[in-house]
Amino acid sequence: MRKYYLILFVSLLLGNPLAAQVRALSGNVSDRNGQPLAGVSILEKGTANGAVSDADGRYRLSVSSDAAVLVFSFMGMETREVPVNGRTRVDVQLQPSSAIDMDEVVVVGYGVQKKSDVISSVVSVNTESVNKVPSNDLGEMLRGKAAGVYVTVADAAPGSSSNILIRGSRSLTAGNAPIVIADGVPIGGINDVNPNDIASIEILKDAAAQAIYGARASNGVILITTKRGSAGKTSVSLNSFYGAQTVRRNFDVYSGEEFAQLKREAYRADNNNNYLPDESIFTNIEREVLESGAFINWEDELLRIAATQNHNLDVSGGTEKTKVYSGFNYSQREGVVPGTDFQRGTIRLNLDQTINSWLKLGANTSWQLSKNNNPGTGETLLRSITTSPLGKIYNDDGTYRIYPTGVQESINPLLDLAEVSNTRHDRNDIMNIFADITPFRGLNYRINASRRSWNRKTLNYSTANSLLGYRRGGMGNGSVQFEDEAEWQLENILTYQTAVQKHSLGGTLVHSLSQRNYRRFRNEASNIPNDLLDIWGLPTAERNLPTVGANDRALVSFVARLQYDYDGRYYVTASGRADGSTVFGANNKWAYFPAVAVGWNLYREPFIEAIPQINNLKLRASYGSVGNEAISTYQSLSTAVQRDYLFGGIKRIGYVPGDFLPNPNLKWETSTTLNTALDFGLFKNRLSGTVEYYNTRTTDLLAELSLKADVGYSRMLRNIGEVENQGVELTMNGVVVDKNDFSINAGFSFSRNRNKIISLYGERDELGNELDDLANNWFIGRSKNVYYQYLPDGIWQIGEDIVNSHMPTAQPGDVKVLDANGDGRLTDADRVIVDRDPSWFGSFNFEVRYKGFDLSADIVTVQGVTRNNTFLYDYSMGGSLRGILNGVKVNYWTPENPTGNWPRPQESNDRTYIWTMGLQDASYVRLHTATVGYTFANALISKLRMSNLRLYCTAHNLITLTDFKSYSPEKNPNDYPEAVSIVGGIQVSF
Amino acid sequence: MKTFKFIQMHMLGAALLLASCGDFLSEAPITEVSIDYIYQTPDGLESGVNALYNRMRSYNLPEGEGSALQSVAFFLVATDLGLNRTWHTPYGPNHTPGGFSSRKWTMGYQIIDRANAIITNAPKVDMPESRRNQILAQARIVRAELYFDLIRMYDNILLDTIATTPENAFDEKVYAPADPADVFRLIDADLDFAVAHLPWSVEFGRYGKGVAHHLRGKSALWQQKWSEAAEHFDAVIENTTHDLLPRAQLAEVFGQNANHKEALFVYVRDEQTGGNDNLPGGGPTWISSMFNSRVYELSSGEMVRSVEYGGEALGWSFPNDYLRSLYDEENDLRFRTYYYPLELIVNNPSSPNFGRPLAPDLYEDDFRRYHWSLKKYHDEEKKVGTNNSYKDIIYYRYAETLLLGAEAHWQQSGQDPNQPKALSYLNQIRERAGIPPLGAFTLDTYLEESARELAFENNRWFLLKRLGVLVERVNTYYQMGSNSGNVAVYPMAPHMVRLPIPQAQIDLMRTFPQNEGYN
Repeated sequence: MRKYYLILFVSLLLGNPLAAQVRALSGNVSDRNGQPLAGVSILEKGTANGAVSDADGRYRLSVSSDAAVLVFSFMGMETREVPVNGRTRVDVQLQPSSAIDMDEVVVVGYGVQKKSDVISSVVSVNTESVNKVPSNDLGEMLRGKAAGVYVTVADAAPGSSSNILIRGSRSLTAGNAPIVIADGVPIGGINDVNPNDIASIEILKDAAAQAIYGARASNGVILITTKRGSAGKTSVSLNSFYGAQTVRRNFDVYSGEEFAQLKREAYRADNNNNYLPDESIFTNIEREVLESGAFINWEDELLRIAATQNHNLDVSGGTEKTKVYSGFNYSQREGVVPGTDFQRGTIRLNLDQTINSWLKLGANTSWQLSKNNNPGTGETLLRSITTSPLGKIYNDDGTYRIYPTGVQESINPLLDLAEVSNTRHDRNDIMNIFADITPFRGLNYRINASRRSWNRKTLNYSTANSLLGYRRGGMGNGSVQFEDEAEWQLENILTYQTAVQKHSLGGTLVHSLSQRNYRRFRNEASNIPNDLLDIWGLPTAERNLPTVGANDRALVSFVARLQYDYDGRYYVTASGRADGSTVFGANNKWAYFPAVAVGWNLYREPFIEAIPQINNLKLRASYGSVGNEAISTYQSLSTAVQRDYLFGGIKRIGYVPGDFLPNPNLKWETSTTLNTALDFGLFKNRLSGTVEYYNTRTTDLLAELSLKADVGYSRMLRNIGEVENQGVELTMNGVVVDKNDFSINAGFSFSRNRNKIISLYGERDELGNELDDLANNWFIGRSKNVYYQYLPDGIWQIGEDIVNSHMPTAQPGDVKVLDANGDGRLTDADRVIVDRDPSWFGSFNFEVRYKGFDLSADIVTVQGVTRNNTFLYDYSMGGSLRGILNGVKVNYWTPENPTGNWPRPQESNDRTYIWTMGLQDASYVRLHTATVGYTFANALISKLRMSNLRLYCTAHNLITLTDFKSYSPEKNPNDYPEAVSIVGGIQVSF
Repeated sequence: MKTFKFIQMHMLGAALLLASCGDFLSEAPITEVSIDYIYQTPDGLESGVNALYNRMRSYNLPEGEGSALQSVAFFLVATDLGLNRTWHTPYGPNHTPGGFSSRKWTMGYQIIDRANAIITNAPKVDMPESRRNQILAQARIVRAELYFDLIRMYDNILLDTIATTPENAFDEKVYAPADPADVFRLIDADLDFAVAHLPWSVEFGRYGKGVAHHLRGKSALWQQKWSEAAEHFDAVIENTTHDLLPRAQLAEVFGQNANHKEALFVYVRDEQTGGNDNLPGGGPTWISSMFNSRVYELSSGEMVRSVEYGGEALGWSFPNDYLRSLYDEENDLRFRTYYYPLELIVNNPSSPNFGRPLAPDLYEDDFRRYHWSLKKYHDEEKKVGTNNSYKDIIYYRYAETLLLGAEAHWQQSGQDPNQPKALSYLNQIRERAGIPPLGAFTLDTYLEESARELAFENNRWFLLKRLGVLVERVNTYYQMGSNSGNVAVYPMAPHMVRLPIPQAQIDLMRTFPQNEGYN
């Protein structure tokens, strides 16, 4: 679909005013089946003179001489160079390209470029493979699709979004999320756009590519371009899938018998090693259940197989002057936890209207509505693990027992699932209009205005029978929240393109203004006397507590860019951006970000052209700065919080400054990146790839400084220190087999990022070494993401010489903490730094096509990650072996089980240092997607008046191999689990 | 307005645009007031004082659980009168610079800074002198109270009277322990100002002259200025604003309505205007659920959650055997009033024994389910299904004034066992409790009477520390255990008489020494 952008691109290049045009040409372009190809770019080689084929594949062009050479290029087709040789009609057939097409167009900031001209680090993501992932989160769909892009899911509930990290995390406290720009307009989140409407996704990774987005770009930029209509036959395509989801957990909880035994052991440890009679340990109900054996399997009670479906219809077409694309999407996903679901509908309408030779208008609009039910599953999932199996779910009258076992810590997880509701209604509109004015060839002025509006209503209600209702004495409670955000942007973009002989020069000037306003109103209602109206009974509540929130932010920017190349061989680009932001402190309002890039297309040098095996070889390097203005509003100002008090029963207003000391010097973070890369394509591009090395130094990091208590403020946001991210990325794609009806493509990517704190506050010790920040676990020379704590070194055994050890007061069955420095004492110095970051991550994918069949799969892996699994030690998560809460099953120590590798259970208190037991290797290998499909032959479907018919089946997250005890290696067991899903679908085009 | 400005921007040429950028880029908060309002207007200063009460309530009696509650529970429980079953283990493995709650230190200094700001700025604002003095007196009593608390807990503290601004926050400063004499000089000066300017009779919830005298007397005791102490306690005792409630109203001392004359100062809470500590009514405390057992978990099922036994309970800490041994269980009214009854009455309506005493063999030996329990924080209005309580809590009480007054006179007299005022004050307490007067005042009789009257009211730990008997008495009587089989005296190391200075603060201050014994 990128071809439509070619139209735009070429319109910028139209003609060369200096070249005399002597010969008029025309012709047809078709594919190997003789079908006309629309949107093919036809260029006179060595000039910017060109044309585009129309819907019937026809084109017209005037060339400078009989000896001219025409270059025909089209995405997905092999580029052909055809000498004119004095002809007036040149018909051409294009063959599908075997691999990467060097004339493929890539979207860059404020423009498009041919792939061969790109000299910064821009990755185009294959949208076809993205759309194979049956998810409604585009972040999840991008997982494993590009080197250097690290996707994690914090919360996999229906309707949630994942975290995307591009080339590691730079910022200590400010956000690390990339900015997402759709059709030139920043959007609220990556999921504001329907994935099926996306024509291309580009990820900008180095400073040269990002610098044009200045103060918002340092975490990387994701450019989304949506599909546009084209002149000619109207095409309709439909894609629907339906499927089921479940979860798979990588741990056990104690069964009824096992939990009872754990409880006996816990009481025994407190009772001088003597078992107590069951009557003193268990409640009535617990004993009854122990006898009957009717234990509860809470996971079975709680989780379900859930349905998911997605339906997409797009219609595209138009005339020479008016082109329309419209996309309709409805997706619905139930959660594996009952009561959770998500549905979303999106409509997109993209319009292009040519008014005359110098004026074109266009509009991109998107309307999105979604509804999400999620009664707050964190507690429920937690309770599904921690609630004792020795209980009864229901009272005799069929209602849920609040305390299934009679012990107040064990709360029925089913209760609140049934009695609490939380519904979010989101409305998300993007309206974007633009005009292109071309006063003369080569110069284009675009004015681009947009308004994005987001609105969320959240309704929450806990009935009188919910846990909260019960605790409040049998009343309903809830809240209503209205949120609203509007973002405006207005940009003036001036581009100029010219070529003199072999010199090409392009320039871009941008002026941009944007403003974002957020408002929130929330009313919390306590003690609603009855459940008749749910939360709408709010006016009857005993207490209503309103809260408000509001913030405004604005950004003013100026951008300039100059691009030069000589003969498609030597490239230089320089750019700069100035950003003024409201959130910067009064003393630092403007930020400046320059960047420069150079590139050398070696394969166009005669000495490489002589080697037929080499089809692409490019060296490129860039250096530049970008910023991070992810500062919350009003951080540089001194404001007060409201802390009222009651005197004589009457409320009196109290104001007091909060915990944050304001900083009038607050400014952006600056990331300066050196990027070097080699692109190559061998054997007619059947083997292609990119190797990149980068080094990013981020300075003026926004860090929450811990302050000394006497300052009276606990924290202050300040710009300090320097963090380095350096890494290598390798991407390779190969066409293993390329026959007419049989092909195999395979590819892999490898990314490795090393994070290192170079400096923090600049304070030094006597020896001149810079001091670490222990409070935040930041150490000079180490990654900013580390654990710093004691490590376990086994369990103390009976008969060990404990008294003379480094832990003289320990008991057998206690955790033996590692005496890391071996001084025979347990001191702060025995804490050990443990890296959390992955050592590398990567993906492997392949696609096999045989006749109508296609089979594809991608495997993603993350290696060397360490995570702290609180379920292995924390009391409230059932990890501390108290026999009060159930938990993740471990092999605990008892006098009879001296090889147990977890401490001895104890009822009265957590074992000392049990909290050292949580660090686990969270590396994983995952079969992310696997798809089989069948496309029906042309002969058959043309009878049905279809142009394409494909049936497919896709599995998502089918297999995950990891040691981490949870539902997913990225999450704790009480986080919403990632679903394993299998869907079946159909694609039809007319 | 903003939108208009926005559109206007586009109409202008580039040059004009640059010129107006400064305005477009300036920032003004929409939902928060500027601190200039607090410190530059009389109304603002008063709001600043009101907020101090809010913060102090959270400092002294925080909502909920966690390290906030721990920072308070320690002083309630870890004395010669306490027994701890679970959760935080006073004097245990977490009694370390990194493990002990840092809240008193960090929050204490934060509120001191806010008081400093009011004390610094109030003299610069134009307003009537009397209004200014009310503002100053309240800010200064807060500051004095906090410094008094900090020096008693840590011994070695910082002294800072400068209000922080973004400009002076990073001025060079030497981090070394302040001379205690300087600290007490500031405390006394602040309290003297409060005594001079606060009225006796104040709105319920505010500091009055009574509590100012009481605190000033306590400060004098710590400095062993006995006559000065006696003077201040006498002032409270001689004034008619505060007095013991009569014997007939003993139950009302810790009743639902704390607005009575025995209360010198009360932290108020209110569910209607509350929800969390930032709100006027404050957040719910768990203190009233900490000290009673979960009788409804007795395995017989004879007991259910009910108001009279405190509803849902935590059963974390209890009065210990030593404290029980101090009471004349027959005659001392306090034994029946300040504690839950030893005998439980079956309250499960579906039990055939409903309304009858629980059978003796059904009292299980598990402190979590049953132990002699403290009723001082009992909340009649607490819902039975929750640990959350919104009850007002008396923080300074006239009975303590009497006992400290007695001690002051006794000390002033050179510890004369027959000092008449000392005996008279002490015996007022005994008389009210319905037990016979004592004929001689000794350290032991004093500590015992103080225990009987004031147990678990946040003063025992400090009293023992001041008298130099904390370590010895804790090591004799303080217990840890979850049933009679494992309950045992839990040892306190001598250096724990001072709390550890929070490790994070030691790391930040760099030069400030940790208290001895914690390294």
